[in-house]
Amino acid sequence: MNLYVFEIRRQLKSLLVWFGVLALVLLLFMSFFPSMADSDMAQLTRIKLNAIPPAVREALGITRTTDFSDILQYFAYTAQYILMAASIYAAILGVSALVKEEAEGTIEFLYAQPVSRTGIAAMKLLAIFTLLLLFNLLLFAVSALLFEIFRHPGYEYLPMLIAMFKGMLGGQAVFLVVGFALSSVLSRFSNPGPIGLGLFFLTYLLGNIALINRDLEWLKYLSPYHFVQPSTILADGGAIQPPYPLVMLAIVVVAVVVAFWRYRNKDLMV
Amino acid sequence: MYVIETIGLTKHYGQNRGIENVDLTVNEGEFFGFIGPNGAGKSTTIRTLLNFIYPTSGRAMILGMDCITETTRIKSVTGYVPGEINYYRNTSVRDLLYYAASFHGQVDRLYMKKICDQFELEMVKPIGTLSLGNKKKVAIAQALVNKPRLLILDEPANGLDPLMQSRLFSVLTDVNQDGTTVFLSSHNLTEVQRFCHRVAIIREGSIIEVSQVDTLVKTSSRRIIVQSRENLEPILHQLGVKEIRVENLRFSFSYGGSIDQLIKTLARYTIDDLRIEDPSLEDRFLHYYEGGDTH
Repeated sequence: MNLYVFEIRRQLKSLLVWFGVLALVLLLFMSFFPSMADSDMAQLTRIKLNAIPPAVREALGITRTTDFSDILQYFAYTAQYILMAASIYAAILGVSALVKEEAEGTIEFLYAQPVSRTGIAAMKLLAIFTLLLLFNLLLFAVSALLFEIFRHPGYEYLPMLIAMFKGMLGGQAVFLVVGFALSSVLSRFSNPGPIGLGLFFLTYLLGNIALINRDLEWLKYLSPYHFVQPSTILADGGAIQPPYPLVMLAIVVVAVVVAFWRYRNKDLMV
Repeated sequence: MYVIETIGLTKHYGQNRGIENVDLTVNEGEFFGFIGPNGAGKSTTIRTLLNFIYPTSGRAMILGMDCITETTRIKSVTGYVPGEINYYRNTSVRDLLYYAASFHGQVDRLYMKKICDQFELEMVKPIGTLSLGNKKKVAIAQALVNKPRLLILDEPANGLDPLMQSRLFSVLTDVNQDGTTVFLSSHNLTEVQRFCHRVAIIREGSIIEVSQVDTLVKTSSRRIIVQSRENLEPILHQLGVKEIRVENLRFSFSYGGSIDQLIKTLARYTIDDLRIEDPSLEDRFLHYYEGGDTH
């Protein structure tokens, strides 16, 4: 448990920086809501959005939720950018988890202690998942606060907000464990930041190709971001479309097995 | 039971050689020196013992426990000081030592404090701000927190000033006298000669000699320096000296034969100065590395 606590303490500052930036983005977007909700503006936005070609609208995540005078729909549009950033954060957390100890040479301290490799991997995975959960809880709290400020009196938002955050956390968890699996495979010379970014944008690109090109629709299973887009979850009444939950579970299981197996057997170089 | 035992321990890095058939035994209570130049395989051997890397073939055991399957148990009774100290940069010395201690359950806090005082550690400073020497001290302190039965040190004196080196060896001698086996890889042959009971010499991945330090030194050739007014080279060659260097009729050479015969031969010439140096581990070491002879 000491390793778990140490990891969390060590990474708390970077979590707060990511959270601070995203909280500001949320605040900025949501502060536009009152003017977007104005009926003339809503009308104008709808017309303009309908003029965008459907494929581009799909790529922008504004196919099914285009009523920006509705605070949940407006938030769902905003939250997709939050999801992007949070997925990148999750991917970097995952990629850094194991390989960073080798890259920085700190593994020579850690693995000289009476702790097994499985123990190290398990505690690290638990720690980064805790950090991700905390990160999402903080964002959820800020979002709920903003809803309280900007919603129309009596507007019910909580169940859908929770559903969107649950979905987004699921998507981020997929990036976290895939990054974690990569972390067990990568050499110590790898740079976790760019690899985390690459992991997100590569899968995001594949997901968008799937949306635009029907022949390559199967590519959508490779983009966790698209599994849990907040606007889709909102349009589907709070649920993640099947078979995505199963796909996510399968990816998580495979990635965790690969990570633990590989970490047990690799040479830890410094 | 040996504290360290390796049997045919071999590690290849792809096509590159790491270590080859290393057979080594270290007894309980020994102060054991492991010497060899950079790249000879010292760190590879140590990292295999501590399961950082897996051997290609062969076996290694510490205190009778297998270095792969029982590595966690091994580490509860072992302390390790790596060659390069790269600890968590933003963590303070105190936090790092407590973190190390937390892996061992119950540790003797008084003993920890004594070690910290002995090394004059600056407890509140982040590791990243410390000088190389101070980082080394932290590493040695953390390796001692659990009062290990075996202490493995990879070049511990590197980066320490002479005062701290002497303090380090005084601590190592103390812990050794208290029963801890010390396994020390080093370049500093004077230190090894002074403190170690036995020594293993590794070259290009293979152990080429394991011996008592005293025996090794005694069998080494002496280095002799003669200042003369005549050319002594032909006669020196007749005496069978080795590694001869001549500069302005100053002859420096290595000699393993009878001193009596040497003096009687030199007495026939005019000699301005004669210096016979004690045989040292360094001479023996250089003999292996420069001479290329393993016997």
